[in-house]
Amino acid sequence: MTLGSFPVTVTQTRAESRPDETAQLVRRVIDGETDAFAVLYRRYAPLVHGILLARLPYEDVSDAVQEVFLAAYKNMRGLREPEAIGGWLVRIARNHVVDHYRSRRPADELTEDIRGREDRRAEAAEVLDAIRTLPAAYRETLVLRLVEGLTGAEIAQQTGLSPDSVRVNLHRGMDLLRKKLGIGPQKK
Amino acid sequence: MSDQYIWDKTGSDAEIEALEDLLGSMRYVPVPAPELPVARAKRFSSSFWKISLGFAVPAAAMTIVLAVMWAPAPRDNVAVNGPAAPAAKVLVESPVSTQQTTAADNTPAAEPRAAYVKPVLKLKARARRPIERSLLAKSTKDSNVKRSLTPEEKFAYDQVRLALSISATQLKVVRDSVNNADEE
Repeated sequence: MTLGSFPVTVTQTRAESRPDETAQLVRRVIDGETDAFAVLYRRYAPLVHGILLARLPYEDVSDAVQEVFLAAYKNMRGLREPEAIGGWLVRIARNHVVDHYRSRRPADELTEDIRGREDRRAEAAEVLDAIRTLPAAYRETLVLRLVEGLTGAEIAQQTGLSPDSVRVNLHRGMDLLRKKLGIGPQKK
Repeated sequence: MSDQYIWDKTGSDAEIEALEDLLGSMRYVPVPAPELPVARAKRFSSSFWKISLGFAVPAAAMTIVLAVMWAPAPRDNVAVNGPAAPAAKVLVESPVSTQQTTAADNTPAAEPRAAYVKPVLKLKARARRPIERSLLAKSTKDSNVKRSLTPEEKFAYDQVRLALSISATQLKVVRDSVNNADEE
C-alpha cells in the first residue's frame, strides 16, 4: 500500500468545526449553558458512540454514550484545552469501557440473542466482532468510518489524530479486516 | 475499486459500501442530550460548603465567646479606676453603710460619689451647716426607695452583679496570663 497516491490536503467537511468555535462552545458549557451542551452532544455523540461500539455490545452503547457525556460534563472544568475536547471525550469513553467491564459481566448472551432475532443484525454483529479483534487504533478508526459514516478528515479533526495517522489506520485496518472476513483483494 | 473512497467517500468501492450498508444499522441514532443534574448550576461542590461550614461555625462560636469575655471588661476597668459606677452599687448593696455615710455627710448633695472621692474635706466643711435633719430624712427616703426593689428589678440587679463578677474573674485571668507572659 502506498500512501503517496493520496492527496495531502485535508478535506474540510460540513461536520467539522473550527477549534476556536469548539473552545467557545466548551466555555459556554462550563458557564452552565445547557443549550451549548446540547450542541456539543449532537456534534460529538457519533464519535463517542463509535469509540464505545468498538468495545462494548451494541445494546449497551446508547446508555454508555449518555453516561460518558454526563461524566464529561461533571469534569469539564478540568479540561485544560477546550479545543481538544474530541480527544478528551475519546479518553473518557475508553475509561468508561474499562469501568463497564469491571462492574458488569460481558453481555455475550444478549449478543447471541440479537443474532438469533435478526439475520441482518446478526451479520453486522459478526463483522463488528471481526473489527473488534483488530488492534485498537485500527478498530476505532474503522468503526468511526464504516459504522458512524465519518470521513477520514472528520475522524482526524474530532479525535485529534493527524490526518496521516487516520489514513494509515484506515488502510491497514481495512486490509486486516478483509483477511479476517476473507473478502476482496488482500494487499500484502 | 477506489482507494480514495475509504478516506473521503469519493469514487466508489462496492466492498466498503456493502460493509457501510451492513454496519450502518448500528449507527448512532440521534437522541436528546442527557438531562443535566440541577446541582451542576452551582459553582462549588458540596464538599466545599462542608469544609467552609466546618471553619465558619467554630469561628462564629469563638467570636461570640470572645465578645462575651471582652465586652464587659471596659466597664469593669472604669469601676476599678474611677469612682462613678461602683459607688452607686455599693450604695445599693449595703444601705446601712450608706446611711452612715449620709449621716456623717450633712451635705445637700445626695451623691455618694463626692463623699467617696474626698471624704475628709467634705466632712469638715459640712459639719458647720445646721440643716442636717431634713437631708437625713430625704436620704433615708432614697434608701427606702432603693430597698423596695420589685422582684424583676432585683433579678436584673442580680444578673448585672453576676455578669460583672464573671467579667472581673475573666479579666483577672487575662491579667494573670499577661503577667506570666511578661515574666517568661
